[in-house]
Amino acid sequence: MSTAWKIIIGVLLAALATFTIGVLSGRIWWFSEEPPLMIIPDMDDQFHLKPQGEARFFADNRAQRYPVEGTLPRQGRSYPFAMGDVDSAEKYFAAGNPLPKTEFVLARGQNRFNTFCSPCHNYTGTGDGLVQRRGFGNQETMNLIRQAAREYSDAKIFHVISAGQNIMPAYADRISETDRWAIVHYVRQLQSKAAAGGLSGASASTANGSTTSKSMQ
Amino acid sequence: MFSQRVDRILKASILGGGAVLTVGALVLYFGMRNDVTDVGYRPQQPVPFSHKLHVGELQIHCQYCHAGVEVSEHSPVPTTSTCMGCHIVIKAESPKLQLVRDSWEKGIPIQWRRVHKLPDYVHFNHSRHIRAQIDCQSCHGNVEIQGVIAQNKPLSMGWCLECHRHPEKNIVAARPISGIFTGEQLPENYREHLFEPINSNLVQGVALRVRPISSPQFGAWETDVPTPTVAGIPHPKLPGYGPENCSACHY
Repeated sequence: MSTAWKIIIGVLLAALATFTIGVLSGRIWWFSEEPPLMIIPDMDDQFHLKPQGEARFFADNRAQRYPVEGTLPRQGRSYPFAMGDVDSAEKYFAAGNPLPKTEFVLARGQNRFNTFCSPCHNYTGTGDGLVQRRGFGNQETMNLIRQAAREYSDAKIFHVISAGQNIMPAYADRISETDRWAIVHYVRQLQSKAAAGGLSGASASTANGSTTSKSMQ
Repeated sequence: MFSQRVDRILKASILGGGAVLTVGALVLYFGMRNDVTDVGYRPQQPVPFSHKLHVGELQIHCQYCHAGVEVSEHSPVPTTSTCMGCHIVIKAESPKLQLVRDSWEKGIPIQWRRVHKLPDYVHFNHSRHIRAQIDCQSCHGNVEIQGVIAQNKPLSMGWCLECHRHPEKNIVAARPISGIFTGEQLPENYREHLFEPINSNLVQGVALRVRPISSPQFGAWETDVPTPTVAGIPHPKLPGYGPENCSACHY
């Protein structure tokens, strides 16, 4: 076999190896800003409205429409009270928390609290979450385990989660009513654990690495 | 019979033709696969949003913005009001957020570009997979280290079925950062392990137990599915083998 053939075969084998390893290794080594290539589009893109999609039929191009006036959703309901309207909320929810304080409900409360509240209020409720430290509000008013916040009624906490307060936005659209009551249970648990541990405000946050774990159980 | 020159040309063309055919077949076979055409799709978004900053550094849970994923087929892209919840104060003057502020003031939606797109004849239900405590990372990759989101998995039918058949090899169990509800309070030291599976034995230990008993090959009907909600709270279930019959996804 001549040298030329050896070189040709060598190059071919090398190309084959690179290609195969590149494809089969599962590593992303190539990025594209263009939409994926559709060699045979079949019925990949059908003519119907998609969630959060675009619809040229409507003037504002939105596929998702607002509910027709005077209609009610099948699940859930919108929160009736505006931000700051604590009195009406306390009157309306005078019965307090409708959920039983079970392990399951507390676990749910922890899950939702960690998801929606911890960015600002921190995992322990001390009000110095990573987003708060980024320059969002002041820690004292965000501290959930301070004395003033411990004296809030369940209804008031529920109202603040639902409608917001000061710079805190309303969460009624993202957390279901049941989950909000579960969060109220969990906040109460955080507060009582903090009270038992003699923690309040900033002193808790410095030691919260280990104290958090206590409040979990 | 042939002259030496013709002989050489013949040999070369046979070998060359073979090489061209082989390479062509390889390009066609691999080049049309989703893991070549789709993986690595990384469009520029209208707003330079960074998951690396928001999830990786600020530890905002996935479900803070993609709320509703556990009760809906569609994982929602956050509304402008979600962005403005914080950015009405934080970086309120940043030119990068001009589009968000415009959207907020004028009520015009931001046109985010869709990265993960399944064909319209297949139905993927997010809530079902979230309820089975399957972490977002299983399909979306390590979002917390990506500045711009890229498609990480091929999302082809073979890839789906591979995981439905062998979940114990492919699934990442729920991590605290995803905000997936596991039905129990988190273990004590969860704050040091936000980005690791809460119970990494979960998938391997349980998947083998809950294989549907009816018709192993096409079995779709699980017999021990817990009620979807308990007192209005979505109830988690154990991850198990996925259905393999056609109508599970194509309906």
